[in-house]
Amino acid sequence: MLDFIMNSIKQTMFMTQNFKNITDSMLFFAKMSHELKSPIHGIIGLSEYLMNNWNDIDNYKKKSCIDDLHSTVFDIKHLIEKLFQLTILTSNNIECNLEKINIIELIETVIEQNNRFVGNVSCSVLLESEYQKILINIDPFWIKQLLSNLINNAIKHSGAKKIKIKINCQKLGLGENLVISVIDDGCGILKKEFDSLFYPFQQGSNVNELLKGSGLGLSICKEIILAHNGEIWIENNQTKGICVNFSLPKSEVSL
Amino acid sequence: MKNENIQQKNMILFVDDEKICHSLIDLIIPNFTKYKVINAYNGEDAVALGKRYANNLCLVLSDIMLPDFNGYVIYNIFKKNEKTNKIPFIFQSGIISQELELRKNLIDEAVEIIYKPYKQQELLSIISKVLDNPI
Repeated sequence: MLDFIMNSIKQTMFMTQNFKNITDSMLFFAKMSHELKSPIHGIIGLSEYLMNNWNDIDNYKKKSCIDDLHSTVFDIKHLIEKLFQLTILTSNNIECNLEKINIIELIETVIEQNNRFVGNVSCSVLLESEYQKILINIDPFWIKQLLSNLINNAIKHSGAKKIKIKINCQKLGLGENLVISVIDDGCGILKKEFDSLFYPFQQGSNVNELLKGSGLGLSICKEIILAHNGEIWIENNQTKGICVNFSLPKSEVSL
Repeated sequence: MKNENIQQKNMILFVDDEKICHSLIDLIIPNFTKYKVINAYNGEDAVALGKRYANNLCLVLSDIMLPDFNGYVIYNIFKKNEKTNKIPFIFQSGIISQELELRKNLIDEAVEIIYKPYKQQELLSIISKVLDNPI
């Protein structure tokens, strides 16, 4: 475990060499250290409380403390995994293993897996596409990761009840692109925060504190899309929630 | 009826963005003191709860690094409002070097700081000291 953390830190130091200046790099480490230290302090405090007061605590409270300890350890594990992913992606260690994949099938698989794991949260995820098959050169591992991050963000952190995934072709910049949009009806994001959310540890200010995640999901998505020579951006929906769009160059597409 | 009109200063506002820290404080304070806890997970909620419970709050125990604004911003907002300006603060921090920055940013420098992770007894002693009241 210690080796894993040390390797992650070494890789992260390598990654931060790419930051524009020393302040960005220090800020990243300060935030990373805060995000890791805060839950660890809670674990130390609560476990000491349990040890010192064990005989005076009723079983219900004991169970609730152990549940809190367990879920906090999982939050830290999740954060370390995300940091590791982000580090691999940003330090150019990633080699996209491009394969010609039917992206419709891949999206359907992600939706199915998501519905299995989300459990008792009532949220429907639907795919809206006029095509049955779109072959495109992508790395299926990272694109699945990207879609899962976007769906999870919408469900867990914005409280969405309906998510629609739409596919269409758009002209962006010089060429035609396949644009995939993940549209939710959740709590939304302030427009001024659209760009900053793609930086590590940034989260929407109107998201309920109890529902907040690692703050790394969207920065991971951005790095995945950059590795595929695409773009990613956020828009407001006309009614409620947001739409996260990502593009993949169409030169790689065959319908 | 008469009792309802008496506004008891028996609430401690706890401000921290970490859920497990709230679980710990929710156990220690009600079990070892006569005070109740109200919980805020960010600065904005802390300020809103401070206004709502101004007459009942006897203490604010706040983290320094919060998702929206720093603990000293909450402190300075409380100090500028006549309903909340007498409520004492204890800051908690996981970083010792934050103390200098904190003191530079406060109107009144005489505040207590407790460093995380702290022992139950350390917390109870500092609360007792600030409230000038044996717990």
